[in-house]
Amino acid sequence: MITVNGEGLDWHEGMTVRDIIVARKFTFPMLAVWIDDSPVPRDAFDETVVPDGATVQVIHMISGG
Amino acid sequence: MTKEMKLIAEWTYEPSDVVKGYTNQTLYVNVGKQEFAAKAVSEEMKLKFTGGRGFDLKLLWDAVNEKTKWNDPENEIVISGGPLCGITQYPGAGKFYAAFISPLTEQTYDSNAGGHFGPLLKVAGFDAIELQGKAEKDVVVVIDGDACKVQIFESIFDDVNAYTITEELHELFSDGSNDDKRYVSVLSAGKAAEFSYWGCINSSFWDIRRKVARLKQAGRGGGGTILRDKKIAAVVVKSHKLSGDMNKAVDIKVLQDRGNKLHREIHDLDAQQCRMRTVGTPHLNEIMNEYHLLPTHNYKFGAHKDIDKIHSNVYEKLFTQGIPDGCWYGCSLACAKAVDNFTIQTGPCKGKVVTVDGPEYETAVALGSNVGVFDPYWTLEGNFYADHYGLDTISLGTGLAFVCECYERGYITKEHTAGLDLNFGQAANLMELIHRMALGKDEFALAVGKGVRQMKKIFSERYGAPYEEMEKFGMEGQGIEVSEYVPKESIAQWGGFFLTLKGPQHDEAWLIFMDRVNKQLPTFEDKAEALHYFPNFRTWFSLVGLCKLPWNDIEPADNATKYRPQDAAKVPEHVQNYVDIFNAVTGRNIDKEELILMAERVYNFQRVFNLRMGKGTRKDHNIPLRALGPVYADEWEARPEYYDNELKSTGVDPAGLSVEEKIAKLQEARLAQWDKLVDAVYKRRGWDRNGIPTVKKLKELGMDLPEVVAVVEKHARPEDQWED
Amino acid sequence: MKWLKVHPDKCVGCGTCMETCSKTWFKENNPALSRIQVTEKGEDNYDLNACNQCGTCIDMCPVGALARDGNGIVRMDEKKCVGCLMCVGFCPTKSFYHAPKRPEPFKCIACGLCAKACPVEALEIVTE
Repeated sequence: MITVNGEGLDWHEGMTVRDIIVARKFTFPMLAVWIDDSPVPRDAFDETVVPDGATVQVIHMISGG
Repeated sequence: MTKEMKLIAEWTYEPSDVVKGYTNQTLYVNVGKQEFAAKAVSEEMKLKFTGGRGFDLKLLWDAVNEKTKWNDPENEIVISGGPLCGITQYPGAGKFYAAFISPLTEQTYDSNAGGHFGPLLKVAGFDAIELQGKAEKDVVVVIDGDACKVQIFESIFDDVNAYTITEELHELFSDGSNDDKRYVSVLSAGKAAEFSYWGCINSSFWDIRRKVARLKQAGRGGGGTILRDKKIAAVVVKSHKLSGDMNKAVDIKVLQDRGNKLHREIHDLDAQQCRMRTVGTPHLNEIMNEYHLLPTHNYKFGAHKDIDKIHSNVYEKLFTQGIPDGCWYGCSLACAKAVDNFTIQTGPCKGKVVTVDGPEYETAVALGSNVGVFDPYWTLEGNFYADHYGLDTISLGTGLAFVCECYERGYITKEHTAGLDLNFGQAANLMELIHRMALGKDEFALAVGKGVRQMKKIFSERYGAPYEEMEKFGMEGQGIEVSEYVPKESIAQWGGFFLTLKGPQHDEAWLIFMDRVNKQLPTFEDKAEALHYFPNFRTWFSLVGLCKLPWNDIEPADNATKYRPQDAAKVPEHVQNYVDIFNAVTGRNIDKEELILMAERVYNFQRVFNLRMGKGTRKDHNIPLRALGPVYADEWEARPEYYDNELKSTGVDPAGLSVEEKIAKLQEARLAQWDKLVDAVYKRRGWDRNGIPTVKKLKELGMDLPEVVAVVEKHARPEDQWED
Repeated sequence: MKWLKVHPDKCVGCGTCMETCSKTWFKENNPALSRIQVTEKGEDNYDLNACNQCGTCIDMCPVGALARDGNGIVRMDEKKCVGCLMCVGFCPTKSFYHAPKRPEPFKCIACGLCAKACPVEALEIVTE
């Protein structure tokens, strides 16, 4: 189990940042992802593996004017 | 050709060159008395009000009194760009801001537009223009920056609709060549603005590639209605003094370096970020749908199965690609998209092949999912006619959505609507209603054009519709229609829309993701802090003449990893750019804290201004129940599990309750949350419990001007003051 | 189409081209004002950057100040230019330059004077 933006999400072996984004239907393009205290670059979402028990923040940068 | 228009009055002025972003004088024109004047801008006025909307409100304050109604001759339309308006090096620097006493809200409103009017007004010699008085017959006001003359002509135009009059005036006030037409800009409204309170101000720029006049809108608040009430058919400004150094900046190197860096960012990153250059703001259509934020059927729902029909990919194909679509020079974000070779299907322009300016996201939704129409061609036609007739697309769409819901609920029938079935999705009939609004003959169409707040009264008095029910789903605050995001599920966005200076527009704060999705604002104090910072930060753009989109619709490649999330949301590098370019133009030395202070001065001044006009207290910050949560069973049943959980989170067990009971319980809980939010926000802003800025706050800001303090002291009550 | 072809392998980094260019067009010996830029990448290893006349900038210009002349060279009408620098920011080869000396940016127009002045034939005007 991991925490994504304060809510629980089932974890599986090899789970990537992209898997979280797909699972939570985060289709917004301007995302900032932090795993525990480390930022993940946008071009590394596909290959970055999330450890069990991680606290993940998927921050949607505000948009609209 | 100007000989064909009869000159009524003319005034010659001393040219005043732009220095460090200011001409240091403003223009006063009274179209009724045919009086003209130049007013000096003092250093104190610049320090306290900065420019743009700040100058507008200062001049408007001096022009009106506490009893002034929107259609009194002393009401003004004041227009100002601000010190950065007209710089070409940094994207998004061609905006003007218009302020006036609004027919919809009966207090101050400010609305902005791109196009070339703001920069041209400045090089013509003025930091602002006040339009006061009422003409007897239709007039055209001309500011000729080449000849240094201001003229009032009797209008010769039978058709005041925007595209017609704008193209004619570009022709009349240029040498007729494609290149020369770009030194002219025209403000206009349109026929429907004569009958509706939703009148918009169209602001033109000449598109040298398409060889047509493009129209951007200061859409909201009814500025176009006032323009036509003053019998101003159009305002023309012309000047050939445009150049890359027109603001006579103190340090052009900073402008070049920051601007070029942003151009590069946009070049490298826009295609992966917001696709502003190819689709503009409609890139949000499917995203808003995915997050249940897309207003659908008068904000009942936040998503719809037919979203693919209005997907951004559909609009991408409709928009002509590869044209530098900036509404002012140097905007490489280029979101001013347009559809070319569009054949109009209905109304007076039927059969005509036109360029449609837009739609932007708000229009694509207001004249789309919100009225239950998922047909981009219908939206394009609605967009064209709204601009042409001079109607704000947002209020129009939200207003029509209200009409549809009244029809669906049986509160109004064909008997009332002069034969039109106005259920959601009735595209042809809704278009017919728009045409009737411009004809001004049909009683029902006239009622619709007065806006949701008036419709609630009229439908109840005239047709026996239940007022209390309409109060629940009539999506207006302070008299103006909500713009196109579903606010129900974000407490902070209730404030972003309804704890605003002028009603629920999208000009102050957009906090739904921060609050609801990112969970970055867990406490009421956190929400209040965001509802202090963002409205003020965004207000700053309106003081200097900038567009907000290049602030955060593009971000530096390292923004999301270099800064902690809370800071990254502010896009720190871009904030610093703004500080730098302001200093580079004006020679001042502000920092990012001073930037907020500059905005707070005007923000609080405007709040007191509204108080002076008999508004601006807690009771005026109304919010409809539909903005707080589901009102009817079909809304709840569209997301039953989600709402059951929402109810549980408030401590109520949904088991055994009927949907109606659940709705009532959730409403009760959310109304209590709303009260807490209002308290927290007022406190953070330095306002008392009744939403009035305290004298202490005004002193801190240096805005304790005697006439401002007098208004506060007249209205503030001891029992509304916070204990500490 | 006429353009300035560069041969970085021959360049010795003497800077004659930049001096010639800035003196010709700005009446000032200042490498920052040259329309060809020589950058040292390592020992005896130089990068030469001048406009290849691809024309991307033409479509970026909001006032139509950029157009090809009879030789296919992209020329700027300085009277029309409003100094927005979108041509600079969107140049695929970063060969469009700007300086605080004036609002209008500048680029190589294949005049050939630098090629004539180059002592090692690292620059040549070609027509292709």
